[in-house]
Amino acid sequence: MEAYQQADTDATTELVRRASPPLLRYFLGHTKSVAEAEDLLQDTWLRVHRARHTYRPGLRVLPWLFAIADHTRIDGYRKWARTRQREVAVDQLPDLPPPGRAPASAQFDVHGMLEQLPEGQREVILLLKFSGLSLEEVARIKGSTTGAIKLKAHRAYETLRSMLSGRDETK
Amino acid sequence: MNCSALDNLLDHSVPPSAWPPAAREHLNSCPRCRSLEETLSRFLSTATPNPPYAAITQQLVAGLVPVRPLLPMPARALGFFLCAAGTGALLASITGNRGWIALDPPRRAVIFLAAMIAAAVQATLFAMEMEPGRGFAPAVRHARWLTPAVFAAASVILFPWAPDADFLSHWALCLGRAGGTALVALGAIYLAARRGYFVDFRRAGAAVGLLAGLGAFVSQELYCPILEAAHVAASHVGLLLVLSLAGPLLGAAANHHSQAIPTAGSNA
Repeated sequence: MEAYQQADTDATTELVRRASPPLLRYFLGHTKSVAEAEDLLQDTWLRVHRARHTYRPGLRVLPWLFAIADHTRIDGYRKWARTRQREVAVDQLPDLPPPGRAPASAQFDVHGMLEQLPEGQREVILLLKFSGLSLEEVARIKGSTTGAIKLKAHRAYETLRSMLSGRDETK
Repeated sequence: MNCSALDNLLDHSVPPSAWPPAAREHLNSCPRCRSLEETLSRFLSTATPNPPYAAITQQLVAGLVPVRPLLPMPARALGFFLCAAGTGALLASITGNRGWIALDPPRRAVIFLAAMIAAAVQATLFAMEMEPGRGFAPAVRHARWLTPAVFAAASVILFPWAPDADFLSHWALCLGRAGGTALVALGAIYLAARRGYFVDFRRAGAAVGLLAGLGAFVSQELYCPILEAAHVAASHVGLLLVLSLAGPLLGAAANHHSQAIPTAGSNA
């Protein structure tokens, strides 16, 4: 990250290569299409690029990166909500997957379960389990305490267990 | 080992192969935990399609120039503190310090010490807001709302309650002068904060409003010789209260109307 701040091209490439998978996993947990998640990923990297001077050398990169990613996601959601308000007629069309791509739910069966979790719990699970952050890092990003994050995570595990056992019983 | 204890292991990104034997034993015997662990692991191992590395890297590398990192947090906090306190002191040095002279030493110490401590806390919180991922506990965030309340209560306790006939004209004059000071303080804080990246405009707006309000409060306490509870609460603390409420609202409005990134001069 420090080399990226000093305009090192190789360091930039390496940073994108290493940090993109957890970011994409995080966005995939929130959105319904891979294309949308990739758009958010690209938007995040553009923001990271413009805000790269705000990273303090020596600190962990991921909490800084995910704070920007979280902000990008919220902005993306607001933009989507505004667009949706204006495009009433489009709402009446049936939902179609993007051309050439399978719907995300078909690729990841856990996606549907995550969607059923309350927003706060889903957010914590995505950051903690799918993006590989620690409890302390998630607390920093969400401006919360480690205890509160842990509580949300444990409630989410319990909800997921119930969903999974319900699914197993219906099989 | 039970399900609840296993949750503590799930909090960390450690594969089950590295878990203690008791946990692995529980995983084998508990179908609910096994199912949960398998589902989480499956998503982690299969859910990542290839991100568009080349396109992203190409965008970032084009026109890549070195950037100077932000100043350390204490230096930024000091800068914001000086913006607020310095503006108040500077304007009072122009208009006069009759308020300072009229106050007796104990009340002078209490008022200015409290203002300095509150400004230092707000400056620190705002300096942290400039840097993504430097969040702080909700208790600290909520404590900021105590500032105007504490100052209002202190003004009633420290000064006698005896509003005079000219209360409204004095109130308007003081409020006008305090508003001018707050505007200057806001301008100074904006200049000092323009390299920041704010992920929560409301929190940032709250800190800025309180900082500018405290600058105006210091200026009024230095200048205004009216030592009466209603006047101090309504005009000196009143603006602090208004700005502490207006700050988050303006921050939210700024965020709503701007999808752009507030990082002017980020390549400096």
